Amino acid sequence: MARKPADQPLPSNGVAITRRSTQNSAYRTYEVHQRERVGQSTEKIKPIALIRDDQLVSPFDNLAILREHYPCYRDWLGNAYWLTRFEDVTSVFADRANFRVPTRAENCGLTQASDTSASIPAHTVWANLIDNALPNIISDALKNLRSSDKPDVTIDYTLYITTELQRLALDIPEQQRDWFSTTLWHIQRADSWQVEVAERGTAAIEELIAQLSNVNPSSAGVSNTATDKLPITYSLRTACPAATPEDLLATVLGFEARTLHGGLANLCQALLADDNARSTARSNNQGFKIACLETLRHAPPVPTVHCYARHEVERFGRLLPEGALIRLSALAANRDPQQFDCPNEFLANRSDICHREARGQFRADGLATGLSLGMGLPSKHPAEPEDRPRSLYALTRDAIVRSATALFDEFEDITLQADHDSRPRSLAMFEAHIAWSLPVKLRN
Amino acid sequence: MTESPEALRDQALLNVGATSKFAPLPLGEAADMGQAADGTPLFDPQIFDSSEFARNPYPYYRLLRDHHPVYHDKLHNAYYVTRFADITECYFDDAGFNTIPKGSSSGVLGNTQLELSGVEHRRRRNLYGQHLVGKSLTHRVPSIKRLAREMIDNWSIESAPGSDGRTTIELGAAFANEFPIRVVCEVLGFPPEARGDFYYWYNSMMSGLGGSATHKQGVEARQHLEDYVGQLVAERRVTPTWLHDDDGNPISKDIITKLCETKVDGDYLSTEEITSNIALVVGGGGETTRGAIMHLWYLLLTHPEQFAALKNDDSLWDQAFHETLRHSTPIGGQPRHNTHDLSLHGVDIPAGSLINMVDFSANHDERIFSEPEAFNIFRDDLYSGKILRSGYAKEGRCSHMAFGVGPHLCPGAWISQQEAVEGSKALLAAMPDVALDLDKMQRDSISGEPRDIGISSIRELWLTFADGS
Repeated sequence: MARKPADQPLPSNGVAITRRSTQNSAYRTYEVHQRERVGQSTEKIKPIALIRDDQLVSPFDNLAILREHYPCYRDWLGNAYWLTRFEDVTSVFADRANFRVPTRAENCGLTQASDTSASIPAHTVWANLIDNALPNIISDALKNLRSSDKPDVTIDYTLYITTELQRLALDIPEQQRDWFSTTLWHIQRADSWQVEVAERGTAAIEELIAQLSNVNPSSAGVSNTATDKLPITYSLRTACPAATPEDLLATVLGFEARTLHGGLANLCQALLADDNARSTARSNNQGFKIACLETLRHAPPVPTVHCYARHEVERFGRLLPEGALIRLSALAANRDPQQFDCPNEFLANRSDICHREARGQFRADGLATGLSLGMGLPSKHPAEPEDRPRSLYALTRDAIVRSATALFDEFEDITLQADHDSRPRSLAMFEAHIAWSLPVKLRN
Repeated sequence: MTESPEALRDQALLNVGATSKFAPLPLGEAADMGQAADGTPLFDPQIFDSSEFARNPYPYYRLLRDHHPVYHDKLHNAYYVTRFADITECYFDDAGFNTIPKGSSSGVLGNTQLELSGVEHRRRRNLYGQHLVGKSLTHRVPSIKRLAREMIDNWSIESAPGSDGRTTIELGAAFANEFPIRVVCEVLGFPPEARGDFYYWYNSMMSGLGGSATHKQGVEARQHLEDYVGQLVAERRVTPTWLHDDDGNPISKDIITKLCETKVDGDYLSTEEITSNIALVVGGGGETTRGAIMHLWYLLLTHPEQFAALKNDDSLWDQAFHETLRHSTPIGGQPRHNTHDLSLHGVDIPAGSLINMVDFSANHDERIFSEPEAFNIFRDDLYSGKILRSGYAKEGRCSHMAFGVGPHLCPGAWISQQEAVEGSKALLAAMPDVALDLDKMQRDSISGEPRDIGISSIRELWLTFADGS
């Protein structure tokens, strides 16, 4: 194949077209997309229907059509393939040899940063925060809620908790809490396809990185003198001294506070909207945990994860070309009737779901777990490893369960404001699917 | 950044409903889609799915050309290249920018040279491309004229004048939809009695591209075409048939016969392969020419001084044809697939990405064509000579991009020009004092004027003319 030598003069358009790779060329002379036979057409759904505004709240009917009829749907409009069956989604998500799943940091434009969230020091910081700092944060959040003129569980409680955890991890001073909260909001949307939103996110990233460059490591920590161990730290910078500000941010994004925040908000929404579910959750010491797992199944905060074919690969009867975008729909997979009975119902005591966090694979004892793809692959380490904290799945679950338990213990009669549509929704297609608004009455 | 998360949330929730947020604006005016910190206008990819964009596309493409010459659309997972010079460069780089479309044609039409590059593309393209150029085309011109006359004679019989002595027709239904199909049908070697089915195949396949609601009909029509072609192929493999000029002299074997006799990789083409090639000719041979005829007449009738000049000077038809294709390009562009990671205008594009080369925008690039939104058959910056695969860019004149350029230049470009020009000449002779029937034309929602062509081809063009009999 002809290639232009590097020293060739500018082409006729006057702008250099820089080629960055010389291997693994995607050039081919044969056909990828085959003619569809009668019966293979996809008239039951139009591609535009998958990105219409109504899908932000309720995409489940369309996803059910894909799952039932077009399990590997070629979306011409979105130039993507949609996978919607549980087994298909997990098999591709786990197949890192053939499919590349960009990290959250990459999606937000931090392409040169290292996400060290899986490293033991960084992971330990997050575990410290969940295990040691969380009770105080919850206590403050409850005060917030109580003192608010218009108490809103999502804003005053769930968002506060997750923001505080990240603030402490990054050593952001308490006086900058409000600034950090706003900045973090924008950063969490930096991967949006909406250019204006993404621009603001990028600006927020730059602002935060500039701030991190000036922040000194916090001396805050919990001295654990009773066991005569080293003081534990909440500071990522202390735990990972070689990390750059970009690395620190990438690592925090890797902790996937979106799932923590969204999981907690969606759990609160489910329990606030359904008294029976709340009673069930409060009826025994496993209730909130099972309700949490059911929430992550029924309303996963990260609705879709995108991955790309590393090279040409044949799957599901199709040749997926190099670079093909595959949308893995957790919303669809988690409501796959092949895995879950009455998949559209929220059952706080659901029995056909794995009652442990995902580990090794997305199932245990033959039961599927709700997919929380934002948190990556399930841990391969023991449930209670000796040399490292428990998995991100377990930490996130514990944080959600503790926070939800505290809320409903503190405000036993908490109710949603009447006539408020509190359902989880995405602010834009493919963004987090969360109960963004939970205005409540704390006492009847 | 001082807003609270609560305020930001409320604002974001208000913005839900965004796909209907693009209200109609005066033509030429773009919606405000925000600005970057440095003041650069931003571009919201949802505009592509809006009716406003279909109605009023030019200001948006101008915005892309000026500020985002390579635009990454994350919603549709595609890149858009919009400047004339960049598109030209990419079209000539057949190895760097494969034509393998991640578009929608192959699902319905089948696999054709649209998906091929290099020598294999050339080989297959020449299978029928040779019938559409040079001497073969010269020999075909009399038949093109004859087919146009036949259609017009037939409509004259069917369309009675009204009480005012004027006849009203819808040009698409009366002529433009079917005329190119008849020409293609004859060149391919289909018997005349197949014309009815031919229109069904064409219409269903073209409207069934992509995962649309009519996709099923497209796939079914393609199968119906294959069933029909299967019989023809069986016959032509045994008994070749020829095309003749109007004097009965053989010109060459028809395309189906040639395809039956052709070997690729030492083996004859299968019925499936032949049908796919025919499906492509059916689709490609119809839409550009249909659009060209409809747009040409619309633009001439809305620019009466240019129409008057053309009526007095037969030699202006070719200029009018090319200016029409530049001004109102019937096919928006062509998809490409970069074979290497690359960077263009500072945008990194990973290998295997879908890159839409927007011919529509290239033809309105003010870097090439002055006052590009104006229809002007006398413009001195548009090349209107013989269509060249190499394109034309000399002495301040450029060829337009409606047929593409380079190795994948539309093989039907030359015959399309003959059809549009000869067909229009025949129409002009048959329609004295022709004018738009404004009462029947669709109106623009803002200006109240007859609706502009916009990004999609005109589907209905109502004309009224005096009884010339």
